[in-house]
Amino acid sequence: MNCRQIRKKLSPYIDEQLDSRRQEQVRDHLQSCQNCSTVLHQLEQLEDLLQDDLRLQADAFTLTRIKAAISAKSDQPLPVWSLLQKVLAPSIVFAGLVLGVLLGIQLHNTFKRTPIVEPQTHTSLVDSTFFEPLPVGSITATYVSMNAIQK
Amino acid sequence: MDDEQLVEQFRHGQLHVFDELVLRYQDRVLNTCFRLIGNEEEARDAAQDIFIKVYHALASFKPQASFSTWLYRIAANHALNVARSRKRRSRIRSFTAEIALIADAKNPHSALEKEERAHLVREALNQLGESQKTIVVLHRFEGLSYKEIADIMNISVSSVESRLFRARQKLAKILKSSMTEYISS
Ligand SMILES: [Zn+2]
Repeated sequence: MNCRQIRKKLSPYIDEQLDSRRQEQVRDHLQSCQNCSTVLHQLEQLEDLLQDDLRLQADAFTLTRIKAAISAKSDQPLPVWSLLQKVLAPSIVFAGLVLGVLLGIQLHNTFKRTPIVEPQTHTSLVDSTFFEPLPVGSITATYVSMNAIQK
Repeated sequence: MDDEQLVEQFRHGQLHVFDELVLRYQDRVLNTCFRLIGNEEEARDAAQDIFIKVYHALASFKPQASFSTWLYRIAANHALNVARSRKRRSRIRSFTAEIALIADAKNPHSALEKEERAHLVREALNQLGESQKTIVVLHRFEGLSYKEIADIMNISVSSVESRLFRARQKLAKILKSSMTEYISS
């Protein structure tokens, strides 16, 4: 191997990641080559500098904090559900309103078709023949009889 | 019980085994973050976020690689993201804080103290490109093999080898000049 090839292997050489045959080849070359030895020396100096391994330690509450964060996250409603809620709640209110108005109109029309509430038909109410006999005590019956009395 | 067995149990609903995984890896994840980000406080936050991410991703984890490979991949990606945004922020941050830090790190009464050297090393690491920095951190500080690093980064072993060599040469150069500057000033 020439110098260029050897230098490429210097990094795995100091890490002892080469197979024994390669490791030996590099070692032999270094013994006879000053330039490659200098490069190796630089790399070894760097390794010394990196030796100051200021290693951090996770503190005792790391796990507790992680678990708290996870359960806080899973307590939140699912994104799909909260989106649905955002859309659903106003729609339900709106639908309720629409339904209410429609019901109101419907009721209004129902009573409008019944001549009972038509003031101008009051005169004919009592004699009216197209009414079925009203059940005694029903609201309509009471109303009709009240009208009759007023007359 | 090995990691893969724990993961298997987790996937079968035994969520409490997650605790064991955290305890096994919390120091390694924290230090990976510390080297890649270069700031202790942000590294601690990042490590916590990584485990939360892992918890939610574990259900869909497909064991093609080992759990540690998968975990280091998530950790490195997350930490590099934090480091990137930190770089952006520090660019607009005033230099006074940096100067105070350097002045603080200097001790006129001694040669380079351990702490100060560690600071210079961290600064030098930050001048490497992302992939070189990651390789140095995983190999030199986390003690992972070339093969493991190749798996984590999805590159070939020979790429790891050559990138590590270039990274070391660059680091040596940066550190030589920063230390000379430091000692002579
Ligand atoms: Zn040579």
